[in-house]
Amino acid sequence: MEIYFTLNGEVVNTNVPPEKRLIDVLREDFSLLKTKGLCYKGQCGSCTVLMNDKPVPSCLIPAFSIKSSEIITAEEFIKTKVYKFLMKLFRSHALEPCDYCRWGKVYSIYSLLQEKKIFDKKELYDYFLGNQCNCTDMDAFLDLVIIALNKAREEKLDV
Amino acid sequence: MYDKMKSSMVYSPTSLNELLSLHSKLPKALIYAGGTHILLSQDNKNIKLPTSVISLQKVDELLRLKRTERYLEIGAAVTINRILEKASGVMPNVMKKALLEIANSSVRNLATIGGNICIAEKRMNSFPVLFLLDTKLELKKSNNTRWVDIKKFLKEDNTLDLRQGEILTRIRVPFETWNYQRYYVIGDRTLQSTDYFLFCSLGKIEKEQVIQFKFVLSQGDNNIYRSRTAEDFIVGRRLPLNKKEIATVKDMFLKDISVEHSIDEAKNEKISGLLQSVFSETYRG
Repeated sequence: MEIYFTLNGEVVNTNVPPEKRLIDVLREDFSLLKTKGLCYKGQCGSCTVLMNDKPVPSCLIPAFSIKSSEIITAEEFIKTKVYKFLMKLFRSHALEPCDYCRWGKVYSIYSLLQEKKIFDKKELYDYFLGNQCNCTDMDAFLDLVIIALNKAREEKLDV
Repeated sequence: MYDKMKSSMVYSPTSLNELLSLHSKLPKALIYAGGTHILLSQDNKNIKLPTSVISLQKVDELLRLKRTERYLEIGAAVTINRILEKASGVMPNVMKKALLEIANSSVRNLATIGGNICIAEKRMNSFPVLFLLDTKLELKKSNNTRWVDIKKFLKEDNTLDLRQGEILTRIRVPFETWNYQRYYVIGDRTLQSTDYFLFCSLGKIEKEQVIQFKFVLSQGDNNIYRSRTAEDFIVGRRLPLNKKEIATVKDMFLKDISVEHSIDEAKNEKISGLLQSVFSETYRG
């Protein structure tokens, strides 16, 4: 199946079986190795990519679903202001997520930043319920998310 | 490896008419919306798909959200996160809570409300809530449309009343004011677990007295448990119930559900403990 889609800002095409998972398309056909496949259950967050500007687990997407869509992987996202802003904040609070859950968390915060709403801790707890990882204390992480959202608003961060 | 396999044929209709016509020609085709459940149930690296797949992702009519004074209407292929983004302010809190309990935010960007309702082998997060909210479902096939109450959609044998050639197209959630709403997921919440219970209750309370009350308990398999006798008993009382009242509710509930379902001693004990904690308001989900 020939599939055209936009990958990290460039229109690309590839000939893959429709059954192939997006994560394998990215890794095997485009050598984008920052997207990792660990659980293949959409749980760990390590394979998260942006599809049409929404975070999605690439292990749960068959190739036929990406037709005409726009995919952004970690290779591109690390160049963004949002990523640099978040990493600086994570490091300054010694709460940098591990490689396992990093992209799930980073992209989820990115989505929250796009919503431009004020969230309380309870709402954030519900939001990040599926992103829990032993690498960071959930409570401290949620406090940091609140700080990030407020700081992004103050600095008028372009999302 | 792929070269040796015969790939599936994927159809991507862009309108409802096209979809229904395709489905009538290919009744055995896999209807693919978010695909999360299909992919989660497969451990193999490469996805196994049947010969024909019909993707709902481009069917405009199934991607619409509409709000009227009386109800919220959701296209079956609308993703869970889109519902949360667009309708959080108008949907009942229990529904919002149930939707937020579905997997994680990334999966919710793929998973659809139609998929959450139509999974055959188990009742997912939204089902007990939509059940209590008297949700109506629109089911269409090429030559017929029917609206069915979600309670009737779940047949007595706990299978779904999705007939040959039918596709769930719209979900209509009526607006009604419930000033007591509870929703809990109790047990193992991981994506593929069936070892959990979903508890949902809705009530109307005036001057601290319950004037209307309903609740269901759903297990991670395919059962929805409900006891009208226990609900009637709660009406006229104050919440949280006292110890004696909780004991009566538990007895009534377990007696009622054991008529239709086989409940072993372990499950009986689990349900009993669960009702104890939710009705004494000591459960912190």
